[in-house]
Parts: sequence; structure tokens; C-alpha cells
Amino acid sequence: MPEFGLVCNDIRKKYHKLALDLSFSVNKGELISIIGPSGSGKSTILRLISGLDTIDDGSILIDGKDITNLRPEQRNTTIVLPDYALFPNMNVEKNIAYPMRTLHLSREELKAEVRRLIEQVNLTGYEKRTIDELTPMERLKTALARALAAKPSVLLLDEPLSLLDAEERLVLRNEIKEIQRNTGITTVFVSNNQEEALSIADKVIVLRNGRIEQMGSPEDIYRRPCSEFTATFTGECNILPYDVILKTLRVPETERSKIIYQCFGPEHRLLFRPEDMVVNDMPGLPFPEFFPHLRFENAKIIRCEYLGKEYLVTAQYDGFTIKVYTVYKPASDTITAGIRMTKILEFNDGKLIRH
Amino acid sequence: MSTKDNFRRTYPAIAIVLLFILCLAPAIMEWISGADSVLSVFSDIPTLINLGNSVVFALICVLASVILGLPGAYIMAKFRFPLKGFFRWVLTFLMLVPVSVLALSTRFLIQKTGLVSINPLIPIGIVLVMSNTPLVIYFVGSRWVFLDDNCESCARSLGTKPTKVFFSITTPRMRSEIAFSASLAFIRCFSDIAAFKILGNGSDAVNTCTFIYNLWQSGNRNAAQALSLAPFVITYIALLVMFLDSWKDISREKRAVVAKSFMSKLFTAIYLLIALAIFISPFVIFAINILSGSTMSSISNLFGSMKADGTRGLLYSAIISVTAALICTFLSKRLSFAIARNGFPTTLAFLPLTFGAAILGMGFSLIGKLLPFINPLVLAILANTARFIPVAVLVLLSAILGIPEAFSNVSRTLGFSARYSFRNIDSVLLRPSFFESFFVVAFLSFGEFGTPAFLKGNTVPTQLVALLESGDSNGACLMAAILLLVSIVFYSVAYGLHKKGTSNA
Repeated sequence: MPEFGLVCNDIRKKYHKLALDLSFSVNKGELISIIGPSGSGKSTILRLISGLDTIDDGSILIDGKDITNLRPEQRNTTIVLPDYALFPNMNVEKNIAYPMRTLHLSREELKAEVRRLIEQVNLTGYEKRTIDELTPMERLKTALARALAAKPSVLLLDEPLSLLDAEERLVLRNEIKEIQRNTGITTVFVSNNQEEALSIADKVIVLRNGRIEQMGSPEDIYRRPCSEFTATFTGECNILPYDVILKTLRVPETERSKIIYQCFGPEHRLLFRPEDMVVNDMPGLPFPEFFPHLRFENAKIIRCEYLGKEYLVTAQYDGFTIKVYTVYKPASDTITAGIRMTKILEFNDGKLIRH
Repeated sequence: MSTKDNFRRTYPAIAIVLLFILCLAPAIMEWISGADSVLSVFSDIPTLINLGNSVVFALICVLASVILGLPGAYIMAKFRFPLKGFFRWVLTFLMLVPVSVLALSTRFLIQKTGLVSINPLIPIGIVLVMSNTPLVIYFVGSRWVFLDDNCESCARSLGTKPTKVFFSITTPRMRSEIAFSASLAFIRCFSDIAAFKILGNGSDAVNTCTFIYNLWQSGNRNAAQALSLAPFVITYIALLVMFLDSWKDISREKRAVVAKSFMSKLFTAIYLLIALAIFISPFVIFAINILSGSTMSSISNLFGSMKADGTRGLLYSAIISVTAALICTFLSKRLSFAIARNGFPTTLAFLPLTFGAAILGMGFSLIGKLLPFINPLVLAILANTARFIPVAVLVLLSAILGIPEAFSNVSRTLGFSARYSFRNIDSVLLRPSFFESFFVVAFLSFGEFGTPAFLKGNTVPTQLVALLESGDSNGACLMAAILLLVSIVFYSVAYGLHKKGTSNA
């Protein structure tokens, strides 16, 4: 049985518009990402875990110890806020050394520990710099080192990459993951970027209006979303009504009725990712007879967005709008694409019923 | 905030308790002992006319200050020009310089120019406008500097004329600061005594506080105490207007630009030259008077033959101002904390503004009668403390609001108590503002006339008026010059600290 680093039991918190009500647990040494739309309560969860806000009901356990009624300084959690909150009256070195004031280390030990942390976050040479002299990336590294200096049981990261540019985000998310693996600190990572959250986490929580919509591995969240909300929130997807089956299914007649009447209900909706669609790049040459099952032949292109490594094509077929990725720019104003049945998820009333 | 976190509750508690004791105790005592006369005072038609006149006169002064102050605020906020820092210093100094100094220099100017037959309300009005226009510039300008021009640019691109943009877009965005500064100016104009004593020969026709002072001096103390309810109610209304709009978050500062058109350059130059002239004129006038032989003899009078009254006044002023400043700073740190972090009502912290010099002076005088063992100097210190707590709060509050609570929060998650976090992070950042509030209160207290006048205190400003009333205008001039110089020294230190405090925030 895994040892839990963090357990949130039925925690409830009511704000003006938000009613937070959730339970989850994080294994010791695991990194969990929390994603969700603005105002869904992501940062609030971190404030509740760190004790900066109190919960109305429920309990929070860290390493098996109930910390619900402890003050923030007694919880052994550290938080990195979106603007990092580095103390402007201290330089990099002093910011990092600040949490060690309680450890009663000798001068040499303190210096050695600070040096180790500075090396860990690749900030060597920046020790004496003031906060004003740092770039956002260096500030984040300082904030991380300061948080690690407290030797926390749980590290809370509240949108730490939000101030960085795309390239820096990529570098830092790998560094965060590496530091987390090396230190083995249970970490909660709140992000407003789904791709980032999926790539960094061992487990992901999707939050909606203060409640957990889905919790699972990044692959589960993306490939087997339990609801249309999770599916659309975690990436591009096509959501089409049941009718699309009747109009696009290209299988032998004997299999057709079996698929239609045994698999799908008329009130159901079908969902599939654009990257799972197969594009016929050579007009004139048909798809193989067995592949794919649903075919959108000569769909009229209404938009073609260049994304760098590929194109995102939006097209209309018999009243249905589909999105599909293609490496080559479509040569004409139509596109032919299809999807295999195994890639299609079936939803009823917004909830997944078959995958 | 954790349920077991007591720091937020306990830290400001002592300041809140002392604030109410210092303000409410004298006021309540005063109103209770004057209760018998309330009906007779407020049914007296001349008194009511006086009240009405006072409100109207104060409103006219405020209106003039706002009209003259808005262009100044715009210039200081939006334009870049040589010596801008110096002009900002000049304008803020004029806002805080004792009214008695401005009034005395205006009186000398009138005498020199031979305009002695002029209606005294005109110079009084000019002095009050001179003192309060910089206040509008300071408060409106400090908000304006953070207001980005995007809305205005957008409205201009939609074809709106600049004047209409100013009144329909900019002014509503500045509404809270205009209301704040106008209300503060109203309280200052309505509560002023010094200008009326120096320029109006004690006339109380349009100043309720002078009217109360005259009643008090003539021995009609019950009536004075009863009438003091009126300025309290009127200034309390102004205080509510002051905080009608909460202070909004400020966005990033836009860079000031050099004035482009010739007209705007000319207007800026004229405006700044007038400000400079107002700033320099007291120095010139006092210098002319002091350099005359008669004043030189009054120096020896003051510091020698007059039984050391002059030096005693200086000493008393110094003791009162420094001690009051220390207590104010101690209390204001806690009160600002309560406002910024606990949501303590701002209007309550600014309550002493509504009591003003008259109520506090009379109240502490009554306490002195009831408790004769208390040294009058202690009473003066307490009265000045109560009077200037709002100023100290104003200085510290803007600094504490600029320091994100995230610092304390992070420090707490790093294992430190709320008290330790506040002392080691927030307090360190607040230190320049802490000293700034000390110096600002010290110099305002040094130049305070109202409370010592009621308490019969022997301080520089009271001596200034006493010397003037006894006909020794040269001696008064010397006292005013001392007051001016001390103010400049104190304010210069405070201004330097303000810049440091602002950069921290």
C-alpha cells in the first residue's frame, strides 16, 4: 500500500461564488498537477494546504499527521507564489538562507547549504545579486531554492511558470521535474497551461467549480477523459452528434447495423481528437477499405491555421464541423479525413460511457 | 489566516484602544459638561449663521484649491521637466508648512504693499488656498501618475475632444482621489484657526473654530463645548466623503513625457514659477524683516530679556513634537496594519481629523482641570498625538499597502511565525516610511497652533500669535522664521525617507 504524502479529506471552503468541496491524496514523493479554468479554486487549494486560509470542514494530513488546525509555520509546507514574493530587502543568497534561520546552523554549514541549493538550481554566480537585477527565470530559481531550503514535506507551486516565455517554460518545467525527482518531495503544481501540467505530473487533477472533475494519470486524463469538460479542457477535440455515424460510417453492411445499434444510442455524442484522424493527402486514391471507419470525404475547408510543425484544418462535412491536423497544407479547398472506431469516445449527458 | 493565529488580532489592539481613549475621552467629557448649553447654542440664530458662513467659506476655498490643483496634478504626473524632484518637494512642503507661517508672510506682504484696507477674508482665503492646493496636487497627482492613458487614447481615437475626454473619462477615474483631497482640504479649511487669528484679527464671522476659541477665551466655556459638536458633525461628513470610494489598486506607472506643444510648455512653466514664488515669498519677507535693525533687537528680546520665553517656547515645541511623533509612529504602524491586513475601517483611524484642534484642545484642557496632577506638557503631547495620528497613518498606510502580503505568507510557510515574519520582512521594508511618519508628525506638531492655543501652551506658534497681538511684529516674524527653518529641516529628512519608502513599496 503506498504511503501518502498528502491527504485532503472532504475539505470544504465557501467563498462568495466558489464552494470548494473535494478529497484527494498524493503519494509520498509524487508530483501532482492541478488544472482547471480561472476561478475553479486551484490556488485556493494551495492556500488551504499551506494554512494561509482555513478550511470550513474536513481535514488535511501530511505524512500521516493531521495538520488541519496548525498554523502555516507549523505545517512544513512551502509555497512558491506566481510572483515568487522574493524579499526585496535581501539578495539572492540571503533569500535562500532565510528559512535556515530556525535550523541553528553554524556559519560554515549555512554557507555550504546555500551553495548546494544555488548549485542545485543552477544559480551559481548570482549569490550577491539583488532581486531587481534578476530575470523572471532567475527569480523563480531563487524562489525554488528558498522553498527547498526549508526542507518541506510538501512543496506547493502556484503557477510558477506563468511569468516566463515559452522557451524558459520548457527549460524550467524539466528542471522542476528533475529537482522534484532528486529530492523526492511531495509536490502540488498548479498550472494554467494544460500541456505543461500533463507533461510534468505523475497524477493530474482537473478542477471545475471547486470540485474534482477527474483525477488520474496524464494519459488517462487526455486519452480517457471522463467528461466532455475534461476532454475539451485538456486539448482540441471534435464533438459530434450521433447522426454523424449514419452519414459517415464506411463499413460492410453486415457490420454497419451491428456498430450503429449495439454501440451507440441516438442521444449520445461522439468525441475524438484531431490528431487521431487520418488525412488522405493524395486525392484520387481512396482509403483502404478497412480503414478508417468514419470518413469525411471532400469536407469543405473553412479555416486553415499554420501552427509551425503542422496545420490545424477546420472543415465542414454535411453540417458537421471537424478539426484535423495535417503536415501538408491542403492543396484544394476540400479535405478528406477519417477516424477509426477505436479512437472514438462515446458520451451521454456529458459523461463518458464508452472508450 | 489560521484560526489559531492571534498576531493579527493582538498586534494592532493596543493602538486601537489608545486611539479611542485619546480621541473619545476628551470629546465625551467636553460634550457632557457642555450638554446644558446645547439647546441654547444651537437655537441662537447668529451662531447658526456663523456655522453656515463657515461651511460656505471653506467650500469656496476647497473649490478654488481643486480648480487650481488639478492642472498642477496633471503637470506633476504626466510631464517630465528639469528640477521636477525639487518642484515636487516644494509643493509637498507648501502642503505641510504651518498655516501660521504662510499667514504671517501674507500679512507682512499686505503691510508692505499698503493693501491694509482689503477685506480680511481675501488674504485668509488666499492663504487657505495656498496651503490646500498642493494637497490636491499631491493626492490627485500621486494617483494620476499610475493611471495609464489607454482609455483616454482610445476615446481620442474615437473622435472625442480632449476637454470632453478629460471630463467624461479621466475625471470619473480620478473621482476617489479628488473626493479624498477635497474633503481633506475642507476639514483643514473649516478647522483652521491660525490664519483667522493672524489675518482676520481674531474675527470669527466665517470660522466656527475661531468662534469657539473666542467663546472659550471669553470664559463662556459651556457654550464653546456645546458648539464643538457642530464642527465634529460637519467634518465627520467630510471624512465619510473622503473614504466614499475605497482606494483602488494601482496599475503600473506610465512614464512621464516631455510637454509637446508650446502652450503646454508655457502653462507648465507659469504654473511652476507661481509655485516657486509662493514657496520663496515667506523666506524673502521674513529675511527682509529680520535683517532690519528692529528685528535684530527683538532677537535679543526673545532669547534674553523676555525671561527666556522664546527659548522655553522652542524647548516646549521640541519636546511636544518629538514625543507626539514617537507615540504617533508607534500607534500608526499598528493602525495601518489593522487597516491594510485586518480590514479595520479606515474612517475610524482617521476619526481624530473630525475632532480637530478645538475639540481636542478643549477636551484635554478639561482633563487637566479634573486631574491637576498631570503636567500641562503631557496634556499637550497627548492632544498633539491624537491630532496627528491620521497623518502618521496616511504616511504608513500607503507604504504598507504597497508591500504584498505574499511576503509574510511565504515567510510563514517557510516556518516563521506571523510576528517574526512581520518584524523581519514587512517592518524592514517599512522602516523608511516609519521614520518618514515620525518626521512629518514632528514638524506638523512643531507648527501646530490650535491645540496649544486652547491648552494655553507655550510653543513657537502660540508665541508667534501672542507676539503679533502684543504688537511685536518683528518678534513674530522671527518666530515664524524659526518655524519655517525647523519645518524645512524636518520635511527634507521626511521627503528623503519617503523616496526610499516608495522604492521599497
